[in-house]
Amino acid sequence: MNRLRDMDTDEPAFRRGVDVLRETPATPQAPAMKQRVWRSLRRAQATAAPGGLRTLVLKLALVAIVCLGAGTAGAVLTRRWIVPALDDVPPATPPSTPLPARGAEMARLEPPAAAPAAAPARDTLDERRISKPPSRSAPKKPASALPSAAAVARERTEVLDALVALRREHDAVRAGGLLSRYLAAHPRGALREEALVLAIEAADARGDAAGAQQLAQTYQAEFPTGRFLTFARGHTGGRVSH
Amino acid sequence: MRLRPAPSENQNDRPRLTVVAGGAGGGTSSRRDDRDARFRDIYDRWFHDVVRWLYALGMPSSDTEDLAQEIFLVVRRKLDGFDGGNLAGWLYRIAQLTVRDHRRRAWFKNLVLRRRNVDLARVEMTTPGPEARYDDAERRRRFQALVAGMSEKLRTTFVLFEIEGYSGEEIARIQDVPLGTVWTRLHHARKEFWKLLNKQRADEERTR
Repeated sequence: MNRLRDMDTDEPAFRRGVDVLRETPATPQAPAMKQRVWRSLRRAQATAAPGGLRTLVLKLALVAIVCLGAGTAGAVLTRRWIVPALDDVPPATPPSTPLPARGAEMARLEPPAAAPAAAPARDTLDERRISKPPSRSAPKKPASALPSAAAVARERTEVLDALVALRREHDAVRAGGLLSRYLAAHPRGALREEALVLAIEAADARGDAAGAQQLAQTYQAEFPTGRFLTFARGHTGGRVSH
Repeated sequence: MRLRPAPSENQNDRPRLTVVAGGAGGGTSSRRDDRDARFRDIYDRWFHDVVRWLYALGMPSSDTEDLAQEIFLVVRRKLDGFDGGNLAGWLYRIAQLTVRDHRRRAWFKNLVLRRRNVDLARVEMTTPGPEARYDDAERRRRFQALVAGMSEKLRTTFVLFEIEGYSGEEIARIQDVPLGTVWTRLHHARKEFWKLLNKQRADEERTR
């Protein structure tokens, strides 16, 4: 078959096409580009990692990805998170406005009369998800001035234990004992305010009016603008101890 | 490593459709040397053809160098697995797949980054250069734009035959198809070419 560019014709349309083909030159030789590409290829060959090393790196990366994925999945399934750093630990002051009731379990836990205690109950129950499982042992050492994140989490567990004993198991004596230990061990504990309120409630539940009054006075003295001041005043008759 | 001469730049050195046989060395380094020698020979003889194929495959001149490098990287990597049969067909297939990958990447990049692919050949030259060279590049670019409407099979056959001067037999070997298929494609490509040319003329007259 002949090439169109080699054909001759007088027909204008055909002529135009033939002219286009004749005017279009073939790809020119590019020796400079050939040399440049060759040099690039040599460079690429010199810097390329050996096949075995590349495979090893890929395998290691794959293993790391699998481990990270498994770890994340495990954390999600078991709800065990890494304990937050001290700077990330939220302050122990829950929102000032009371939140609405949250389902049947919470309704069972919260006493209808003790409205101020609802806030700590909600707080501690929520934090149960991010803390370690409850430990039954009593605290062994007092909290330092700057407690570690683990110590804060342990404190929460202790108060939570007392909350469960008081509200769910209705064991006011045990709850009182746990809270007394907590208050003695953590004079500046992050949950001291909540623990004091729960201790008042526990003393009240076991019929120890004097103990409840004394604890209420302590609360008023330590937290003169506390969130549970009304609740404390209800147990002291308005008297404040200094 | 043995020192070898730089790749030849002989314009009239037509590529042979055979592979240089590797030596019978037993050691790993000897095998590597043989492979290097085969690769150098292939590069030396086929570089210009690969560049021509890239033009036929519709690649702009601004991408030619990068793509040629990419193609020969693949060639070197896969050389051990080549059966020694139709070298031209094997190389052409690698070029075709590399161009396809390049287009896909360019499409994705354009989709994500919203960047325009700038063909340097289309960029107006602001510095004075060799006029003839510019005219040639411009005519090649215009022709490429004209035949861009054809399917890849028709376009490559048409460009390789009509512009690059390959024979039908050579195209059949490169594309790994029977000679009859090449003539059929060429026939359809020519019909398509006339259509595209008439359409272009009509567009030009409308814009006047």
